Amino acid sequence: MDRPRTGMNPKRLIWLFLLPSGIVIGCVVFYPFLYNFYISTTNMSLYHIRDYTFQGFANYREIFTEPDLYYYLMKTIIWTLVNLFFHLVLGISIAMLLNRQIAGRAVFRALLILPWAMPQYISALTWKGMFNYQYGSINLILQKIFHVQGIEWFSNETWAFVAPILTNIWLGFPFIMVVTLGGLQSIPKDLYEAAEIDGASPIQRFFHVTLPMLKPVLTPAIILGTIWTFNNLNVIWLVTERGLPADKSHILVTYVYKAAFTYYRYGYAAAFSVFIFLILLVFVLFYIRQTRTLAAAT
Amino acid sequence: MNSKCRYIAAAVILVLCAYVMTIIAGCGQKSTGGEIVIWEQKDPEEQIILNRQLEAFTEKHPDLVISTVHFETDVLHSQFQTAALAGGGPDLVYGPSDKVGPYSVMALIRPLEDQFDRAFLDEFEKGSVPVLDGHVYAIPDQIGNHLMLIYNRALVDRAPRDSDEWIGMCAAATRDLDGNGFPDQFGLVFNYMEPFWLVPFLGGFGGWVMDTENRPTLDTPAMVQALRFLADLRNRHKVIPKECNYELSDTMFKQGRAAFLINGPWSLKAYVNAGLDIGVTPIPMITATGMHPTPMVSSKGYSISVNVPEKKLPLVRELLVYLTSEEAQRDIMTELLILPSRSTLFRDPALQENPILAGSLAQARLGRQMPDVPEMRAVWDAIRPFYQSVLGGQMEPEAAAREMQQRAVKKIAEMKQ
Repeated sequence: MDRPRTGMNPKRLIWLFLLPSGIVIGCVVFYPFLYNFYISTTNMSLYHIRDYTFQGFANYREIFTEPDLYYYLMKTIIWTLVNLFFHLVLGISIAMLLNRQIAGRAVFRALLILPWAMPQYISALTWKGMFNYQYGSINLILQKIFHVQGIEWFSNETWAFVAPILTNIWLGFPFIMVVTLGGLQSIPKDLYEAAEIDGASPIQRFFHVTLPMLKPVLTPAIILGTIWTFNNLNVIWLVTERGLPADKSHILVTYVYKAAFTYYRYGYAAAFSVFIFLILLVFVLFYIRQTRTLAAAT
Repeated sequence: MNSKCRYIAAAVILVLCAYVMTIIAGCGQKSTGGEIVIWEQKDPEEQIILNRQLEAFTEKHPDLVISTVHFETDVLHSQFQTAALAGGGPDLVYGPSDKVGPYSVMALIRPLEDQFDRAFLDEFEKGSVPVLDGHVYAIPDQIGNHLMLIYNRALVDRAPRDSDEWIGMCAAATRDLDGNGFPDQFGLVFNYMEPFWLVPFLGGFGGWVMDTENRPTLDTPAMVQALRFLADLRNRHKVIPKECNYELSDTMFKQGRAAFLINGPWSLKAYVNAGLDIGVTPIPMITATGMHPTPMVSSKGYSISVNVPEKKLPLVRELLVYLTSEEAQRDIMTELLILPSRSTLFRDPALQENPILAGSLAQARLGRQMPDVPEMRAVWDAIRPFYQSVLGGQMEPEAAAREMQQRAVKKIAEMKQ
């Protein structure tokens, strides 16, 4: 192979091109991650902000003795599963509708992407307003149209959890919809024709043609969706006004946020965030392994 | 130049670019000798006054550039902490006095007793200058932050004498105007989601959040009675909405859908601007105890960052004195109806003859100084969930008082680990 005119070794040139992104990733991902891990092994807190000392895995031990850990972990799992389920069901269903030749398809597509295009902060506050007991649109509809008492959204533990879930479903389904729509357009029509000739019903065509063909695009989307939802601080924090009612609407990341920024327990919060990272790492590794196993089996 | 040299040169340039970008991004706010940077959390109307005052100050110092950066209160707190720990941040940081506690523990702000003489500090109203462990950490430009009773004269013609009469007036003003079976005008609204609004009533029953050693004192008969009093307003007397946060209470009052509102001095001007004929008075005496509710009173002011270099200190001091001067505070007092921190202004006719300011001052005189210590964070956070549970009818006041005390003690211990 001829060397380029610069006279530079091609391998070195490749490394040189990679260098800027390497530096950026090193600065914004690896260094903070390692520093976070280091903090997690110290007693850094309000009273030891400058003179913190190494104390091994004491923070990690404390996490597992925290009585609320399992409650918040369970809430986080429910939060993630329910959101992901509706993101997938709504996202795939609407994508399949939009993939057909329907009038005004471009308009619908643009409108349905809007929730995703809106800043999450604005959407969360708008939804919070809609859940307002006295003036919220949801309660007004219930009272004026259905003549029933409005829901006390933030006085009841269940409704207070339903409120951010509804918000996040609205916020999250367009991502799956867009990804699925792209995937659907790349599925060859022949496959559907062949399945039809073989007598496959629409449901069979969906489960045996559409879903397997969507897997390459859905797998990374599901992984990303899970991580984003699991770590979604904004929606819970803003919609439930920091965990209404009575701190019952927390998930793990909001709990960590409080530990760090309400109580200044930086070492403990850093350890907790490493714990969350490990949960997600295990999930991603397991999920990738499962999808590979399924791919090998089929 | 051979290829090796080019390679090294390219790499050096890239690293330098990255370094310069980092410097620009990270230290954009760092001030230089001819510049003073202020980080503040003032409301928009206060910002207008501040900008006007800064313009006047720079007229005397034409070479000086003063820049202000606005943050929401909590964001300012975390941003200042991060920046100051890294050796950067503003020269002056403005905010409520309870933030001074954490800043001083982390040594992010300078003690000011060496920067100003005693005579200057004595010009401020007693208790308005935050002092922690014998050190002065901020110079206030206003006092207040205290809750008071505001009433709409279109719905009630006078202030109630005591809590029994108040509840009666609230009940009379709670109405179903459109006849759909649900009340849409309430006797009383306030942000009862937040424990800050519980504190006046705790005092009205003879309790307080902490003792003189900064230990929480939440599991007391006073707390139980205060919780029961507020729960009764919602569940027994039904004179407050079933859910009521700050935005709802503010909106309902502005729309004339609430006779009484409990809110702070920061909100008064907006109600006047909304065209409401308001009265301001202390929260009524609790009939059962004969005691007045005691809202927390605190000041807001400027602290000097620990990172301000010595040579810049005289100019920063001069600006601080100017921003907390009588003249500057009179602007805030007359334009925004916020109480000043300078004692001389309390005798000013502009204050004494204004019924809104006089009502606010009467309430402030009945209030108690908000503890500025970091432990207050744990106390707020311990009260909030159990207080909300009592209001929601999911917990008895006795159990709530017990739980909040235990949690406050635990969280304070964790903070001090």
